[in-house]
Amino acid sequence: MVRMRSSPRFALAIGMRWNYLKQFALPYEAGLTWEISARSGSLLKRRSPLGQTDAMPAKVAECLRYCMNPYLCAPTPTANESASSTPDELSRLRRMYRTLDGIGSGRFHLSRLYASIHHSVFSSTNNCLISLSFSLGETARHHCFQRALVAAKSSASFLQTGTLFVGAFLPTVEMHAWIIDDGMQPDPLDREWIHFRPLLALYCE
Amino acid sequence: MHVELSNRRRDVVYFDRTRGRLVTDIWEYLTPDTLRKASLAAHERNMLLYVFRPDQYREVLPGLVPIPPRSRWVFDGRTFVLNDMRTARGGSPASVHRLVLSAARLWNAIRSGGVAVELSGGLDTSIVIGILARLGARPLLIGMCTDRFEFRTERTVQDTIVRRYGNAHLVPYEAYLPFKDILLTPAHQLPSPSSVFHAQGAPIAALCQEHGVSLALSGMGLDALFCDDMRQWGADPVSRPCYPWMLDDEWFNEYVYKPHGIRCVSAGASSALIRGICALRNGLASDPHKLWARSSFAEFLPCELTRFAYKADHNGLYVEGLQKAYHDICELFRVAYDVTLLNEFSPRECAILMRDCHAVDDKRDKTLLGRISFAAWIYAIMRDRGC
Repeated sequence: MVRMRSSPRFALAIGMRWNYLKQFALPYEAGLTWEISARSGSLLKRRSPLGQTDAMPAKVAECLRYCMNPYLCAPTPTANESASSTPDELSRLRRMYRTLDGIGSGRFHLSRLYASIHHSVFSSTNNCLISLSFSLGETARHHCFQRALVAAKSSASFLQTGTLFVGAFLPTVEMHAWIIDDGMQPDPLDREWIHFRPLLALYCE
Repeated sequence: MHVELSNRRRDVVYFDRTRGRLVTDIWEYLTPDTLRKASLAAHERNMLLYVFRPDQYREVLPGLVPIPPRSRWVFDGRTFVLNDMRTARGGSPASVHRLVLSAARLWNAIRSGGVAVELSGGLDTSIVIGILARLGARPLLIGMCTDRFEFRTERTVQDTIVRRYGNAHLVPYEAYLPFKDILLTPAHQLPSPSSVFHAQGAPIAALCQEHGVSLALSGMGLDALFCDDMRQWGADPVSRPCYPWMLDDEWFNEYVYKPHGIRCVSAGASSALIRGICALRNGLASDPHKLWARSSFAEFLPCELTRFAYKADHNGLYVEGLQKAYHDICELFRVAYDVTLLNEFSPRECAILMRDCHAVDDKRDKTLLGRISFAAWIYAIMRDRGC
């Protein structure tokens, strides 16, 4: 029985599905070329110019449009305007967050793999992030990457229309992660996302 | 001891505590010996708390206290007490309409001289421009602009306002970063963090002169009126930012604009306007995103500013300016060290502080700003003395 519970097939059988968070690099050239490593999540700079880039997936292009012009976004619903969540949903969120927190930001790729085991708990990313804030309070507020990955992992709408961006506030080395989903930045607590230039996009196909 | 201090001038004057009298300037006091005794710790503390008032001021130069323009105080030998309850009392009947009427009266009083208004793309100056436009005014719009990524929201608003009202002249931020020309900082009487931004004032002053402007209105200090927790003041009117002199430290006026014959004041620097806004916001909690202002002045604003609460972060410009001025800052520290012999200006301390200047660290950045502005003050005085 213990062996069955630890089997990936068993885990996937109870409402989870494997949906790898694919990456698309968005390097920025300004004298130096700035980029974020898709393996380590580190901010890198190099002297060599941009090479030829692949065609941008349509979903990433659409979400990037909102990053480049935040005034196109729909206003972010606040906690009062979103649906409330059940204790079970909050409990699942807490478990996901604690797992990601345990993995740590230093294990970028492992975090991505964990978030790629999708388990739809919420229909919308906005509802998910509000519930996460309600559940964990200030603890979760400063761990933007974990917050974003929990939302990517547990929001049904993210699968359809969402993109997770990791960016930097150049020329400082400050980094941030946020989501654009369905024409909005869905986290009402995140006021800093507009300062960060997106350098890496993670999305599901 | 009971000394009444009345500064009726538009400029800062100084109280010489040891002689018990006001002086209009303290240039004669600024000798290498006096500079050696100046207190860096007092300057850092004044800077951190944004102190403009003598009752909170810690003396950088022993016995010398700046007295803000158009203010009255009493000195009892140990403490300063504000002696001007006139502007603290009362409150206008609260409505945006009455506020606009006050603005109209003020505009009629100043419009005959050339007037310019700052166009930053932020909320405060957009409110000023919107109200003036409603009154039929079309002042010159001046300011700085950039295509930097983190300023794209401000740039959108600037473009919207320029399309609506025209008559705008903007200079590029990149050419006038913080700390630019730090070795050419105008000599000034007391250290001020504003001094590291002096290069940004020069092109604005030149624009004003070119267009015959004698008065420029800025958004300085409106943050306090729109954001502060109004509940905290309670029965103590002295704490309220009800006095125009509380909105600005006057550094740019005295050392950058005045030499060009221009006066730059906060658009909120009127007791009537300040009382009106305080009355409207009476009892409201802290509002860091200025949601109240966005809603109350919505009819004067582009929709971008009412639907969203975006605000650019200046850290990127600050860090870039710091990096480019590295060698100049080292030179400032060298001279400050020679004069003061303070370890805080030693080459080792300079290297430590500047080493990771690209990383945002609030405590380190404030320390750096305090020391650079102090060193710039010493350097400018020694430079003008030919030392």
